[in-house]
Amino acid sequence: MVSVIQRVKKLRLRLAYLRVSPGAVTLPSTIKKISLEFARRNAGGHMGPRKFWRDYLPGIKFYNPDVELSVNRPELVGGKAEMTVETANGEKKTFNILNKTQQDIMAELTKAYSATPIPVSEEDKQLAQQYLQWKIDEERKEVEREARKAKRKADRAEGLL
Amino acid sequence: MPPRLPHPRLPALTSTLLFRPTLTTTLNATPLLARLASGKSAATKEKEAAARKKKKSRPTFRQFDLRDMDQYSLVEAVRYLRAFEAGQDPATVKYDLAVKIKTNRSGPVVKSMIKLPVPVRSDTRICVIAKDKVAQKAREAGAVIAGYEEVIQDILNEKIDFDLCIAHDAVAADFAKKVGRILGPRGLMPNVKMGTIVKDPAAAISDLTGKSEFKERLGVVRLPIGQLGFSEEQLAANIKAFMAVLKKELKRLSYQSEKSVYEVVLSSTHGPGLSLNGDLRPAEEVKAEALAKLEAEAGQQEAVAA
Repeated sequence: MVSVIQRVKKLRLRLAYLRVSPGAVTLPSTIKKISLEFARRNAGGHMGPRKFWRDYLPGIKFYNPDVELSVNRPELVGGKAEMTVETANGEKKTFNILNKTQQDIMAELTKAYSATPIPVSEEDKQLAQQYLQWKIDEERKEVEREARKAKRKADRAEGLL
Repeated sequence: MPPRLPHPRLPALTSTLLFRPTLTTTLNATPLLARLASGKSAATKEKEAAARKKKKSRPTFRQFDLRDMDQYSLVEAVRYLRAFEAGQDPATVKYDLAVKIKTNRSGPVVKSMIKLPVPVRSDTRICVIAKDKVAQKAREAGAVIAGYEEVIQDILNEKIDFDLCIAHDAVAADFAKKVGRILGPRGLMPNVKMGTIVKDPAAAISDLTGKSEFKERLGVVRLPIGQLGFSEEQLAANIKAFMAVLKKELKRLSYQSEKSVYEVVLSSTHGPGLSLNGDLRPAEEVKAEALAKLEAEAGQQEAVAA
């Protein structure tokens, strides 16, 4: 069982990151649904859409709980990359997001629907920074671990020879 | 309290340390050379260390002070979890409930079944072991597999394509001998206590579908409690129903060992675990609403008086 302190530390960082994440905007209440469609692999300009999903959608969902989000990835490689926004009056607007970065996609959404960014508290910002730093550290540690493991394996193989 | 980064982990006492003499001396009073000279392999030492550790074990699972924990109302927790599940399929992503129990390490464990008000999964594949007519009836009631000899043959060949197994009580004793070894470890073995050895399998199917099993492991009971698509009310109904059953089970065991609910944590397939405080909605929101209502009433009264 993990200690409560450890759990709460990590949880606070993770939740703070969600609150200040780049998707922290208010969308007009007329928007009912945002659906994305792109491929499972990055190749051919599908990385931006995927990053938009991973980095921006959680924040959008948190601040606009009534907006339905759907992500559909029918193809493994290639195919179209589209974002469809459905409004309350049944109107559908489709954006081509192939070869666009996640920032570009967000900018397009912001421009088309005049999304307003949510003011974030200084404390949350700091926590989010810590979260990112922690993730980077973890990644570095993982790489180091792998390197050590590889070295051990190589040493052992040498010993056997 | 400003949260700090997690404490850098001390390296584990494994054979890695043989390559890092500087750390060995800090962690272990015996110098590396002496340890090597004693002729004990790293594996033996590990075993010894484990044995030393074991002696210190407590009779209960470790309990932490929940005052340090951030706890959330159901609505808040669900809002966070939905954000973490943004863009996921609402039918495959599940909410999970983990209930920590204050209990001894040894002794009886909670194990039971519950039929949730809103079933989490409705696609349970049922296998019925019965002869002739009873098997026919079971198939009509929705069993995917039903029969006797051929089913047992399939099971013996480890062809197991079901999540739940029901046996007719006329054949149970004979059948248990044949396949107990295979079904037992998988937790699929029918028994009277779980209500899976019955006189009428067809009726049991309708009783058992939509039922989920739960079992205490290491002082925690875990159960999928809803699909991502569920509303807060549906989720609340499921949690309430589950907690009621769990508390009853805990009470039933209380003459043997003292057990009580300690913490309830809601998580989702990709999301973090959020400790619940037992309220449906955040306390401030409820308070603000009550205040607004009072004010509105006061305003009305004034208007009437005027």
